[in-house]
Amino acid sequence: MIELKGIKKQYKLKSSPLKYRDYYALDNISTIFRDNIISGITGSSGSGKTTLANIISGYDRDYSGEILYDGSREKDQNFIRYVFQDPYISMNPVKTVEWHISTAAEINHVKIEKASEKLEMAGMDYSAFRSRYVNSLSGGELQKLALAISLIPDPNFIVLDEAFSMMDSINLFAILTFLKELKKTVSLIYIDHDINRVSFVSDYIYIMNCGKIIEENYTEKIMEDPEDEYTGELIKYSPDYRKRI
Amino acid sequence: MLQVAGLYSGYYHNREYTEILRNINMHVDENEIVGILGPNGSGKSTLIKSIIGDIYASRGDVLYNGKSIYSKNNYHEYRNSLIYVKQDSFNSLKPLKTVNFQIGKLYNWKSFDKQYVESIFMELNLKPEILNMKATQLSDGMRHRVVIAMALLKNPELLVLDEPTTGLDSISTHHFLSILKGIKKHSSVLISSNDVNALFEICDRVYILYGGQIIEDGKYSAILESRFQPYTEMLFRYIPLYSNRNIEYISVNNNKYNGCVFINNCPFHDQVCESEITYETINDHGFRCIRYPGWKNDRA
Repeated sequence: MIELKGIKKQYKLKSSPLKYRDYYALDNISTIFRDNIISGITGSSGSGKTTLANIISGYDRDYSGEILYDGSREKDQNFIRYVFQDPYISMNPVKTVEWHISTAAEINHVKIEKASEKLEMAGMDYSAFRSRYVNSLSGGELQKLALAISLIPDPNFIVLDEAFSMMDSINLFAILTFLKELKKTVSLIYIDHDINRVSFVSDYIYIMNCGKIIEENYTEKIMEDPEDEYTGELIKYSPDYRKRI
Repeated sequence: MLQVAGLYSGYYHNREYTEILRNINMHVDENEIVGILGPNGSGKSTLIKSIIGDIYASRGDVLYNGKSIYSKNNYHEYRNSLIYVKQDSFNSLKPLKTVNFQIGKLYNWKSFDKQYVESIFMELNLKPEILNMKATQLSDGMRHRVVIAMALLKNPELLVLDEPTTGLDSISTHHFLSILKGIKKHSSVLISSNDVNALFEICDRVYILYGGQIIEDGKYSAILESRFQPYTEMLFRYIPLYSNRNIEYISVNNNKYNGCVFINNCPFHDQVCESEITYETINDHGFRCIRYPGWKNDRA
């Protein structure tokens, strides 16, 4: 369980020469991320989703407020793992898939058989891909590899920040179905700008707008009876092939 | 207006030629929105690059108003009447300059109608204060919308968009698609995407690309009504939507690679699929499947 208490994050924006004003990327966020469910965070671009993910996973320490990981302020090294939006910057392009898996296994003191099992779980055939160079993989395959690497140390939480943005819809359907199985062992925080995908995969949804969580509830409640006007708009305008503009 | 006739194209890597597109036949008429739909690695971006003339075709031709674009005289004229928006929007902007600067550059530093710019920005859900922000200060979605807005300012004859809806949230996707509907009155649009939802909301005709070949094409209503290719059928079944959340995913892997492009993942494959498949057309609805309509009954 991750508990956020009054998280604030501000940037300084230049409003005129020699004058700065505060811009709140996150404005007083207090909420709880529960265990063994998929929590989905959605909102328009620029609403602070990625900033929140950076703060939760400990990449960004420049904030005010308090985060409790299972009740304590300090977190274990393997408590939380982060899968980035851009898989190209988290991999070494001139090394093979085998190198990435074995390095990750070595760092986390896991046997390589166990590590390659995680890759098979994520839907990639280890024997077929082990000698492939990372620069020859497509974006979707890289994102599967990034997910598999994050699973190797058996973390309690995984934060997926638009981690599957490069996949086509059939691959996405397969990997989201896999996430639903995964939630029995790991708690997941799934961030996406598309409310269709978030409502497809998650059990509990947080809607963000302008640095605030404006609504949070169970998926059924949000999709069928949204309280906030903005949430209603998000659902109304969500792309659907059966609606015609 | 735009006609692609028997196009074969690919890339050279270490003097070795890899063919990616095989026998592409398609056309874009005036005042029409055409979509290219396909999974990752199917050759959507390669097709777009061949159409705008960034890479050469090894065989076949691309004709614009009846003239080949691969000749030097026609190419200059062609590129002036078309605007291409890249998938990667960051490389289209100067990172340390303001948006105002970038738009000024678009108009060759002549004065421009600021109200018109702001009205387009409003439609894409962008605030006017963004004009004074640098490209590095914008979020991914905002930067993408700025690039699209800049493309719309030039009123091109043909607008080519490579994956325009990735990185946009649902409200700005809706506004963006509504703007495209408005543009249709005075120009044509070619969109490539892997998002079924966005394409079928807006396109008049859709080409479905798989493994470098077109496997189905037709009017959006005809494809929505019935699918002639098993891949398209799967595409419509496995869409991540709230109403589909209880559908189970069944993966198919046949370990066969000869013949039909979709044979490896096709649940309805047979011996006849391993031969060369020709492209057939019934009532303007083309498809590349030898087992149609036989596979439709297999499911029952």
